[in-house]
Amino acid sequence: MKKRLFGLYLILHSVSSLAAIDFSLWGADMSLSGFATIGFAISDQPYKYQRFIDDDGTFKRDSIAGGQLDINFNNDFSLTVQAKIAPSISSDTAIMPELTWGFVSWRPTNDLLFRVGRVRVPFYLKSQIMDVGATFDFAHLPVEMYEIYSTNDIDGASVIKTWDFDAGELTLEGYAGITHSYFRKAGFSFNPISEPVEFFPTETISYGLALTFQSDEDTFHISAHDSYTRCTNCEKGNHFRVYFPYIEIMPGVGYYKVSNTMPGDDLPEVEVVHTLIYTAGADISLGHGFRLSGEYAFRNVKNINIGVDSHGGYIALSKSLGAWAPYFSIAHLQSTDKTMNMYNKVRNNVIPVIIPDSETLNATQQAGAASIPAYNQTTWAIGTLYSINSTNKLKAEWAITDTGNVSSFVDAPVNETSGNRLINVFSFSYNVVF
Amino acid sequence: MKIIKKILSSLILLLYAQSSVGEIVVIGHRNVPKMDLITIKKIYMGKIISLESIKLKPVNTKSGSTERNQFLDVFIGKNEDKYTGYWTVRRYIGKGTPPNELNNATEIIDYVTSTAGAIGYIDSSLLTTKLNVIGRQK
Repeated sequence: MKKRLFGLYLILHSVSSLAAIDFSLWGADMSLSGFATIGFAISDQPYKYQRFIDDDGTFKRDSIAGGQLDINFNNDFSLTVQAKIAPSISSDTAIMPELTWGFVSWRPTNDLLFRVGRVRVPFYLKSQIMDVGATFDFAHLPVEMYEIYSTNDIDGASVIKTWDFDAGELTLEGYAGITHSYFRKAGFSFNPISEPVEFFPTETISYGLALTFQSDEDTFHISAHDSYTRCTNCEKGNHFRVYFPYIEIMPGVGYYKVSNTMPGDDLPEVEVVHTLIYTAGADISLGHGFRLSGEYAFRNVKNINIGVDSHGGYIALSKSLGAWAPYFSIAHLQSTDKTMNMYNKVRNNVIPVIIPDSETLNATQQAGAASIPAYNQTTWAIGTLYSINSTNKLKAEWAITDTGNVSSFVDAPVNETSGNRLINVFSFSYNVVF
Repeated sequence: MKIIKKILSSLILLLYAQSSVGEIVVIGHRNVPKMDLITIKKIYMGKIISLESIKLKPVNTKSGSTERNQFLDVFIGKNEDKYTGYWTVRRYIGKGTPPNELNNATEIIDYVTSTAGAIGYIDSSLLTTKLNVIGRQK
């Protein structure tokens, strides 16, 4: 706790120290801005959903506060630093300060921008503003799209080329960099086997391209990304499993080896997971205050069969009614066949009681299935934005999630799986920028 | 009846006061060339930062001023909420900060005349022959 408070102190002190420097002496303009969301979410279920939500309610999923310092040294060079305080990515209980952005920009011409430092990866339509709730209508960006990848910020560089047309602005962004994050492995408990939620530190090297067209009313976005992720503190035998091999005990009876503590050869594993990600999205005006928005993402994990391969996306319709902007959305996240096949085979494998220690073996099958990051969930949501003014906004949403066969967003209760559940989530938030 | 007359006369005065703001003109430092409305709009939306090798420094009046509201309406085609919202998003996508804000026309005239590349806007009634008018509403 002391370490975290010290980290928070360091970040705030650094930002305030920068703010206290009189950059105008060097001909620089400085501006300090901030954003915050106080968000409460509660479900009708006793187990955790999206890490934090249960029937006790939580402020953790949506609440966030941050600040941004922009220093324009001249028209060409500027420095941007953004820090935030939000739930930790390495613990379900901690609140951590984090440096989200910190980059130097060089804009030699109107249409070219170079950035070096910690920059945000342009995965989604709202990648850059996803922490700033006052800048979009949704009470919560659909997890089926916006949680597909944990690597939102990279330490590296990006180049942005802009073409200005009468109809709007076309932007091509290329980036490359490295990021350090955590992979959250859901906990499970199948008598007599149980494991707590674990966070594995990861290092990802990624690069990609994003093309965005933006007019006064509409935005279109497509992107492609290539990434290589490794676990930074995993030892041999504890890297990324490729698949769970089937061990036959007798004709028609066997088990999937899901742990190296079970008999048989070591599980096949890779030290580096290679993932390709493609996204597409649009946010368009239909006239008369109606807006239609939607995004789609495809994750293709090239070298393992029990990875996060999936198709995800959402479609939403909203209507501007003065200060109000009610909306309706449908979102879906579906693991690809190879992941779902492996999940279903392991999950449905039953070792008959005639086999010695069948109870433990059956528990290993459920535990193994639970360790596969598989998804088959759909969420319907209705909500509304209420703009007090351009910088202060209230939001409310009612979302119903059907977890389908399986959803790794659910921390399932003891001896149960995450599938076939209906979860109602109510969210309320106050969002401000200043 | 007297009260109604008072209210009506107040309303007429208020309407007159609103409409008494004259034409808004865009002025620039002497090194800034004349430009069309689309270019002015792009400068105030951060899409153009230099023109003919001149580094541009646009300034706004404070939010809520009559001159600013009229400028946003005529030259930018947005109201205050939309303009603030546009810059809020643009700031948080790391694409710059909105033009600096000055308190009144006197400060704008002083800044524009003394700063190379500076651009501002004032009510046309404040124009003098020393000021470089670079754009007018059509």
